Amino acid sequence: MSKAEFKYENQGNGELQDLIKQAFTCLACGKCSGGCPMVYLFPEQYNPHKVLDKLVENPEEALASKEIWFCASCYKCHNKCPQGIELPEVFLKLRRIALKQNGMGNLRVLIDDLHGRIPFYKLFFRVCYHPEKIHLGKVELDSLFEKSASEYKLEQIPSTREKIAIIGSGPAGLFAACELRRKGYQVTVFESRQKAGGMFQLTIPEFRLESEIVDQNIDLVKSLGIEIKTNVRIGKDILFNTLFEDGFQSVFIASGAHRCLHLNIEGENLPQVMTSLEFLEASKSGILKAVKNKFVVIGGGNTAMEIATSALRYGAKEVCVLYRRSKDEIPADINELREVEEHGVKIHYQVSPLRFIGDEKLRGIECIKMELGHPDLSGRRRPVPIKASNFIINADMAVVAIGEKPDLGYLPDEVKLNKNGTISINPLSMETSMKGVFAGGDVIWGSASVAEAIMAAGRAVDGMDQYLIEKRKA
Amino acid sequence: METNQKEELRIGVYVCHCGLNIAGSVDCVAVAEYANTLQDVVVSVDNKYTCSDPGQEQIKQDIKEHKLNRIVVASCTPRLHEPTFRNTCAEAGLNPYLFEMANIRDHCSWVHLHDKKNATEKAKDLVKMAVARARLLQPQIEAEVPVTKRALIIGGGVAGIQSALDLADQNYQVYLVEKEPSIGGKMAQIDKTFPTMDCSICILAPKMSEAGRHPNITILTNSLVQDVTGYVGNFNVKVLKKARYVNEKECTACGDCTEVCPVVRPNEFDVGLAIRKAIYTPFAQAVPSAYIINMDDCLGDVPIACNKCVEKCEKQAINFDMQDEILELEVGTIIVATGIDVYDPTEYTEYGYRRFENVITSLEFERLINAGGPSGGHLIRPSDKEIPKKVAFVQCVGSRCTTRGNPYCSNVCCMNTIKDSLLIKEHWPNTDIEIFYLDIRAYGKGFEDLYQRSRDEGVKYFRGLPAEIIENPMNNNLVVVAENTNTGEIMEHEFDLVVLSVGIQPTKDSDVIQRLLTLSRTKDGFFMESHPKLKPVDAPTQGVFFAGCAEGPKDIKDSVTQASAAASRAGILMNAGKIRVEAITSKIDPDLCNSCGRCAKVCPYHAIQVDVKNKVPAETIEAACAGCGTCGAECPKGAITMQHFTDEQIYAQIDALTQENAHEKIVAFCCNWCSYAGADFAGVSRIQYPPNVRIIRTMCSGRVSEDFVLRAFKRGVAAVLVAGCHLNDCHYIDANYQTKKRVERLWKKLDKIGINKERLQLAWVSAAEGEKFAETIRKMKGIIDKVTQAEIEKTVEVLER
Ligand SMILES: Cc1cc2nc3c(=O)[nH]c(=O)nc-3n(C[C@H](O)[C@H](O)[C@H](O)COP(=O)(O)OP(=O)(O)OC[C@H]3O[C@@H](n4cnc5c(N)ncnc54)[C@H](O)[C@@H]3O)c2cc1C
Ligand code: SF4
Ligand code: SF4
Ligand code: SF4
Ligand code: SF4
Repeated sequence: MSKAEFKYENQGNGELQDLIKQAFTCLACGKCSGGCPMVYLFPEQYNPHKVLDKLVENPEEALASKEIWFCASCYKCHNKCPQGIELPEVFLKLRRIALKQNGMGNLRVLIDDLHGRIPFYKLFFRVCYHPEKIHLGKVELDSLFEKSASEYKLEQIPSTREKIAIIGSGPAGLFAACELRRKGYQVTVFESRQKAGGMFQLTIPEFRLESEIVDQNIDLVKSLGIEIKTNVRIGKDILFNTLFEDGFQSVFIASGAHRCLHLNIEGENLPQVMTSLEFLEASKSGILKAVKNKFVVIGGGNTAMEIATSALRYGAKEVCVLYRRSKDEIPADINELREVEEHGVKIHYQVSPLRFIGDEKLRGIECIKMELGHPDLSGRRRPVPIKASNFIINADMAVVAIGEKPDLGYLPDEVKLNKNGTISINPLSMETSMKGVFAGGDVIWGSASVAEAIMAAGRAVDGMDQYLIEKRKA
Repeated sequence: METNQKEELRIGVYVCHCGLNIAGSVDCVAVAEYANTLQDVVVSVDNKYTCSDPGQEQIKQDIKEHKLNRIVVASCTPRLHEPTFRNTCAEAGLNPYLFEMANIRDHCSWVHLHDKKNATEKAKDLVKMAVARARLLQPQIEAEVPVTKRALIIGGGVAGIQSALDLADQNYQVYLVEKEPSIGGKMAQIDKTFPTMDCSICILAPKMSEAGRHPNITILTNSLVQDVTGYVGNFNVKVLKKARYVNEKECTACGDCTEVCPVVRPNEFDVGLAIRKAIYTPFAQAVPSAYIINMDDCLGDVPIACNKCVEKCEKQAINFDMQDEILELEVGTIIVATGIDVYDPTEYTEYGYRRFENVITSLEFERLINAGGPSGGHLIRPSDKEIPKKVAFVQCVGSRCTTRGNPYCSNVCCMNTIKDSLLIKEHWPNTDIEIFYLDIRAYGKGFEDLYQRSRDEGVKYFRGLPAEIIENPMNNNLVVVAENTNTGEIMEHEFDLVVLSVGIQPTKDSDVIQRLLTLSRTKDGFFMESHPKLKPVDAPTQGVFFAGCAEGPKDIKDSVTQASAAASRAGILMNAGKIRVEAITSKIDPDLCNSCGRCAKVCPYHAIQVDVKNKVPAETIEAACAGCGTCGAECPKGAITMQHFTDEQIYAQIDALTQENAHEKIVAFCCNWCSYAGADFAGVSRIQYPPNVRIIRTMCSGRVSEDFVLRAFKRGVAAVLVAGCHLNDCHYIDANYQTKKRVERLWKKLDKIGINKERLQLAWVSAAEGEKFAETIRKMKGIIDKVTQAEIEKTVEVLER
């Protein structure tokens, strides 16, 4: 028993002791830090497993450090850890203890750091850091943000460098815009919708992020000298290739993954059957009337889980999720899963819908049970229907949340796509197969997380900078 | 009991310190003093190491000097030293069956490390139980059975081959059973071997053909062991020899047939990197050197369908009418050498194996760099057949991971990678090689030298496992993202080829062999040895031995060493020609027996003859009886005596432990092979659990009669545990199904008479499940904490009625 463990065992601080015990098992293999977006953003300051090291060495010091505040809960590291350490959960628990013991001091420091790195840090914080989980209400949040003393500093105030076009104003597009502007480029962002913000604006439920705050942050981005043109759809209002004719030297594609996959089964066009984005948008814009009694979500990703919890908030009496594989294969992060289950959402595993029943109104869903066959290329076992296991569940509203794909019809053939419909890129520079064209965020991965989108954008900015420097030389 | 009165009992008790292993948490002096107060104890001493020569000498001397006629040693587990002390007694002229052991180390001091007071009290109880039993022990004469001088070896890898040769050279007949079409195992697939860099097949092939030629060895390839019955020295084995469709003796391996065969399939031997036909030989040096037809691939034997090979074969060796055969073999010993499979890394989705063409496994690498392999020894990358200029190796894939693959270190992959790096450097010295590792384990003779050589050649070693591998779809290159944990820097390096250094794991049909031979496996899936240090190649099942990776991950040298050890262990048994079996069989008193036949019905070995119709009393066939005691537990008349595990002895143990504070105690009846061994394993692993339990050992859980359990409750214990091997893993075929039935009956009974049936627990604990045993006791502690004094008194009252 080490000193640290011993001390805390005697203090009876069960939770902290449990965290320290987990920290003891870390092998310092580095699998967590490698792909971590926060390590990418703060390489000098943050390394998740070193926090664990500190926790072993001196728990008090670790609790009083700002390192425990960096993790953005993207869950990218979690299922890679050979010791099964759930880092974001460890950090969440440490933060709760630290808040009690040391107050908000270090959180302020983190906010300052975020502010210096991401102009729309408020959005980033609200979405990634789950303030509700550490019991921060509106008042605390406001005071946190108000007191931030930092500033996002531009290296080169006038935009003297080349013109760059960015397609899409989600997290990836916005971050790339700021970083390019910081380096002195002239940046124009094209957004097909009425409002800028992408996923921030569209899909994050109002109770987690009010649109007002999104608007404020967009203004902040604009105030850096970035032009955001809304209501402009590339491919329709402006053709992709004309961007170059208009003098843009490089293009960053960050148009996200907005095309919802369909089940292609009977009854899917009933008005009470929506796609994930339709539902999120409708709920966000307030059009959605009180959600009905029996609400069914189809899919097993984080989006499906988010919709299930939102539905409860909007008044559904009973919410269930249908997923076609087993709990072992479900793609939703373990914390999301835990959360929906805590809220009383029932997840039916190994069930797949066959048709939606109802003439004008949805009444139920005919489903079939599945068994798991051999693993496919993703390493997950392929579900196959069990004969004659059909059954019907009642439903008066259903959402199909089985994944979103990028909608890339507007791109020229030179920009090559992967088999799954995402954009092929050079993973180091983020350059696509077309010279000078880069991509990042959900267009290259399918739906991932805000933190990962920002990391991709950051890399692309370096890639574009390098590309233009060389072009200048030539 | 009568015998007791005739003979004056003189018991000697020896309490061992085992250095500090026992004395560290048990007050051995106090225990010895306590033993002195027990009835009939004449001598009671404590000593540092009872098993040492002076310790044993003292026992011998005391036997003579004090005319001792029962010996109790309180020390480690009887599974370790019972034979030692039995021998000591025999040498002093005392019948070895008059010896008893109290397990105060594995079951006491090691599992209550921080509770000296309770551990000491428990040790006293255990000694009291042992003395109580010792008073009732009777001398026994062991029977001798002959040992068949033939051996079966399962698995024809390098280990199996080595064992076969060693035994055959000692003039024993050997059957070498291999499931694949050729012997050779994994070593045949490897290119060079570390640490010496010899060519693998060059050193293996001569051994393979020697085995093929040896007059004492019968090689049965394409064969599986289907059934094993009998016991040490006298095993009956059924082997399924699948049809080869090519006569092994006639085939000259000319290969004419392959040329005409139209069916093309991936060759399993080359891990799918090359092709074979439906009629094929896996590799050039295969033994037996005969072709084989895979019937699932073959188009058929009628001329309209195909029949091309039959027409072509000049020797007329091909025979489509060949049938699967079942061979029945009688052998005296069995060596298990079933080896390993390599880990399939598809589930490491972040590494993209199978998604990215240029991510390959180390076994695929071996085939690619092998001159006999699909690319003729040119290391080419799969996507464009170019020679890679930058190669990365990723270590510990599927090893040392608690969430995927296996938690243990696979032992060979570090050295294998080091070797591979040198192989590349040898042929293409300008290749850039980077190795991403967690620790480099270069522990063996010559290993560090090889590691140094690799570093000298400019191979770069980075401590840090990659977080992800991303393909650049434009050129199929791979970006490896990893932290250099020495500097904290995140590296993103691009490579032409990435080799995943995959771990090794037990062959997938290990569970079949486990069941057939009633073996145990440790939690990592490898076979469990009888004792990890002192009997590392013996299986717990007598007459069965392990060779090679079947017992744990190891390299070729260790596999061969162990194979020779296993052969010599088997040879010792067979050379003696006979073996003594423990005198623990059943004896039936014809005067008490009412010929009901219940015993015969439950005996897993059909070792009891009885004529129910004509009322001829039951009788045990001694040679067939294995001594499980199930019959004894079933006999309603008490007509059956289990020698050396009599009812009276067990009652005496129960009575002894319940003399004081019975209401705080748990009685655990544990079978010798699994659950008692599991409790030992908890001790060896120092897994801590509450000290309330007292273990009574029986050979099989089937021995535990209803009356034992009820006696314990009647004497006021808080709870009873009956523990045995997992169902289907029983060492007496299926005797533990009787245990299950009996406990279920008892639960009903307890329920009926108003006793909380939670107080009787049934658990299946294997020899490797120390943690499970401890957890069971912890759980039961929770149960007994809720049992009130009043409840116990009521139980006693109800049962006494
Ligand atoms: C990629 C790789 C590289 C390696 N490189 C080296 C090296 O350079 N140097 C070194 O010293 N070691 C090396 N090793 C380790 C080496 O391969 C093993 O130590 C060695 O093969 C063990 O021999 P074995 O006979 O125990 O098992 P195996 O070689 O696995 O042989 C077991 C045999 O049993 C057969 N079998 C299994 N189950 C049954 C059954 N139920 N019935 C009948 N037959 C059965 C199998 O088909 C197989 O033929 C390497 C391992 C790997 C995976
Ligand atoms: S992945 Fe897990 S074991 Fe490895 S460094 Fe991170 S926390 Fe530690
Ligand atoms: S959850 Fe995401 S942000 Fe947090 S440590 Fe893991 S990879 Fe980094
Ligand atoms: S031998 Fe090396 S690579 Fe293999 S599991 Fe052990 S440490 Fe990992
Ligand atoms: S039941 Fe067991 S003890 Fe009884 S005769 Fe059969 S093998 Fe022997």
